[in-house]
Amino acid sequence: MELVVQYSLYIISMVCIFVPFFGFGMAPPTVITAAVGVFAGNAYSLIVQQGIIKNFIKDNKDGGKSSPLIPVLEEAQKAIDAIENPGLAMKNDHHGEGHNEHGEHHIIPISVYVGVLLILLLGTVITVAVAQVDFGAMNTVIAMLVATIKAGFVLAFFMHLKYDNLLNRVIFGSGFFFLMLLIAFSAADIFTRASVVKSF
Amino acid sequence: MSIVKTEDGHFHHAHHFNSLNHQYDSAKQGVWLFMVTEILMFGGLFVAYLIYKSIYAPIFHVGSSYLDVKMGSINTIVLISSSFTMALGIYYNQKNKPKQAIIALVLTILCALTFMVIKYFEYSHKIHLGLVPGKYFSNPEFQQKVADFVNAMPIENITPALSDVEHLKKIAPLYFGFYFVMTGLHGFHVIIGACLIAWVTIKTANNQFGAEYYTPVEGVGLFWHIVDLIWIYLFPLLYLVG
Amino acid sequence: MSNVTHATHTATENDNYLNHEKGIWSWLSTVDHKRIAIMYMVSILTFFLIGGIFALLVRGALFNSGENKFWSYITPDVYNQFMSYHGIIMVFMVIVPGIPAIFGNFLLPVMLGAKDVAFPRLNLASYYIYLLGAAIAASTLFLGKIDTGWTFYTPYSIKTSTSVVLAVLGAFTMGMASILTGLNFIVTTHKLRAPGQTMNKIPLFVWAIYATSIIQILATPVLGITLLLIGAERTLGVGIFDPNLGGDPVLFQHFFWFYSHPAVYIMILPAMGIVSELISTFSRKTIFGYTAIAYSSLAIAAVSFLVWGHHMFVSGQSEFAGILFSVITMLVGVPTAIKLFNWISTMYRGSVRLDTPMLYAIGFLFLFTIGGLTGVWLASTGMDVHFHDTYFVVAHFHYVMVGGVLMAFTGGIFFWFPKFFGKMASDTLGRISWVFVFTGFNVTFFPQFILGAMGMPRRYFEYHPAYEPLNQISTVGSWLIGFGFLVALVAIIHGLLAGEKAGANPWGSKTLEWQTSSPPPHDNFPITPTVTAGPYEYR
Repeated sequence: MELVVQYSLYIISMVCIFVPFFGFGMAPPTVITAAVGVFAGNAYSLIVQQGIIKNFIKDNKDGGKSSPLIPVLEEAQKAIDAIENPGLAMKNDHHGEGHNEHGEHHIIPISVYVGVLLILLLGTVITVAVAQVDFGAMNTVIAMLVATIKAGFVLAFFMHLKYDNLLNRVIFGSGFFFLMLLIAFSAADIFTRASVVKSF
Repeated sequence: MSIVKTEDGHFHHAHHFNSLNHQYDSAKQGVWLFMVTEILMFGGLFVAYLIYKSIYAPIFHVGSSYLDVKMGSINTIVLISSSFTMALGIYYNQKNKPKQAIIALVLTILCALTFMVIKYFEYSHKIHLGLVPGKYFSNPEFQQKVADFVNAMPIENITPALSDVEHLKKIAPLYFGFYFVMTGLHGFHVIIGACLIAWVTIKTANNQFGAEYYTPVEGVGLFWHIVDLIWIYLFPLLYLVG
Repeated sequence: MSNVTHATHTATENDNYLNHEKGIWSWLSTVDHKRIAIMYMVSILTFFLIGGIFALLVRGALFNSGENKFWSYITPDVYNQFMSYHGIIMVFMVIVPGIPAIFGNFLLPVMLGAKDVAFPRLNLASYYIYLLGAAIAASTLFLGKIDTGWTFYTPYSIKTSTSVVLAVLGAFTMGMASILTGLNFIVTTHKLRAPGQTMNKIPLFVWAIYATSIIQILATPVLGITLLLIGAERTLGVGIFDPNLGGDPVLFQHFFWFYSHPAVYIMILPAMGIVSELISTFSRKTIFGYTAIAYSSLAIAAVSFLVWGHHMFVSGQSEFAGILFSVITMLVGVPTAIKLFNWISTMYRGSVRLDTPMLYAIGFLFLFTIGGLTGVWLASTGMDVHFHDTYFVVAHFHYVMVGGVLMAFTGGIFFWFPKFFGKMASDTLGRISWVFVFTGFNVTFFPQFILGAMGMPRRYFEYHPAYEPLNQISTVGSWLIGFGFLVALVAIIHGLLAGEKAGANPWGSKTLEWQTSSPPPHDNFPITPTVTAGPYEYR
């Protein structure tokens, strides 16, 4: 029952958010995509949280009607574990802590750091070089693009995000996302000051 | 201190955590959350800068020609290298090699100081020329250059915002307002970062870290990399794209 | 820190966080989240008293329509100062920190079965940073004062000779404290849950604080930079918001409201969390639609970032932006309404007991609904053109902030009083306070809806005599509210001094904090609990 309420909520809010932006033409496909995406994401997090696949494997490991499925599900569970806990066992802290007591932290070798340093220095050269060419209105966009690639390397390797757990990536990404919201809506105001909306 | 190194060289975690790992993960998450706030704070400045740049493009174009690209590039290289040495500082702590860690961290501080010295030269040059934010601005040559640039623009590119050349001359110091606030706030964070790095260097020298516990170094490292990150965006926007 | 002799400490029956260590220094240097919560409570209630006095001064000044006020000291400038301080104190010092700092700090770890928040020393630092910010802001009272209103709109805030720089510095510092508290709570919720407690088993109060903390992390930095820019504008003449120097005052408003609108959700979400707890406990029934309420909290947090322009419909914002913000603002009422219907459904066929906390919760339902609905009217651009900057807006936000947040806050104080102090507060005095607060509130603010519809502008020192009768009713109402809160204060003090001893669970609630003694021991639980059931399983 609660699932029905939940999904109806999703669909209603998707409709309400996307219709004003995309109009009634584009909205249905966007809404359906978004709703399906949300459904998939939710189902995934339910599986992870309640260990549905793990429990199924446990209950059915000793043969029976579902045994051909077991290897497939085991692979799926391994993939999920890899996504959820790439480096450290965040969720296992309450149970398997003896195993992790002395910290199996992933250490990036110096060679990788040196490589990233060289890429960043090269990136700086590219940044300055590209700035000498005038792309007109695209100047800022291209400069930001190069900067973002450099930033990506700093984040992934110097700041260890590539080997960190998903949540820290989500946390950082959300910061950028909300910054984009600030830019988008302020720009939506400032650059439409002159236009008058005649009618719908 | 919640982390206590006992005589046998082991670390004990704070009592409300389950293990050292638990504490490390939580601390890291806390630092990342704080970095989000730094991004949003500087981000506000970037938003304002981008908006004004598109409205008053000539002012920003002429203004950025007054910035020394060479000094800016050197500063960029200095900061990127300092990010590298900071990562090394963490690495050597992870490997239980405090002596190399100290060298790496001291190099990072030296890079930070180099950055501030170069910044000092840039600032003093501008202050000398009177290219400072609004109230104290005194460089009519800059204002005239802006006017000349606008007058030379083809007529179809003159938006309503750019039509009053006298007004544009009056508001031209806006560019240096942005320059000083953005680089100033960034420079302030460089100084804070240098102090934090000095703090962890001292703790490393006192053998307070090891492969089991180096969380403060990593936390400071994350902060320092964010400072570098912000400069990676600041440099092209201010110095190059005008 | 002493890690030893936990066993002997918790073995003594009367050992709790209050008598764990003695002496004022043990309080000032504590890292125990419960003691920090009590210190916040003392500070916040003090600031509430001061902000309330400013409110009474404002309403007193508005009793007479002309220039002759009850106190000759009140000139137009002084009136502006009174209303500015009322706003700044209530917003930054009382309501934004209010529930998270007091109830969040005390209850979040206990509800999660944890021993403390994730970063206890940071918690203490947050408290001192908050006090520092409050001190900086309060210093303006003795220097140049503030008359810009709590919103610091440019260009006036750049030109006025009052102590704007100090005020914005104070607000910036308090924002810093807010960020650090939010950060602490997010990591605590992620990392310190008891064994068996998944995110689907945490109480709704925790969900509310969690959603609030997310807003705090994402929105407050933008306020920070905005305030810094005001300072830069005043000291250096940067020119970013001053039209004379090429700036755009509306951009200030964009930046300011990008924080301040999510800020009002920072205020209301924890209040809704408290209401969830109160309603399920005093209906002795599982909360209806736990998942819906939890996700609605997150949805409100997310959508709150998309609506800030509804404060700027008549400020010179473009028409397109106005339409955009108007539509999305209508949306934000949807998750709120879902919560409201769920609370009512919880009470339906429940075993309702009208103790003081429940009276405040029901008061919340009624008053917040009015406030919320009038918000939808204000969301419509067409109507807002008439209502903006009138008393209609003033009534709207007081209905949600006082009728909403303060009702939940007071209900929470009475509800968790036995848990905090081990004694029962007087229920009779509590009910009396409720009668005066609820009645007084409506007498004060309902006429203001009418005044606003009649066109009376807000932040005006003198007004047309036709508005006088309703203003006078409103002022009398403010005296009733003041009296009501005084009675509540007496109830609390009486409870502290002479309240009857409370057991671990005087209200029969099912959440984790009631499964430990009142007051809780230093480490919250004698042994770490394992959670097997949901938080509201009453049957």
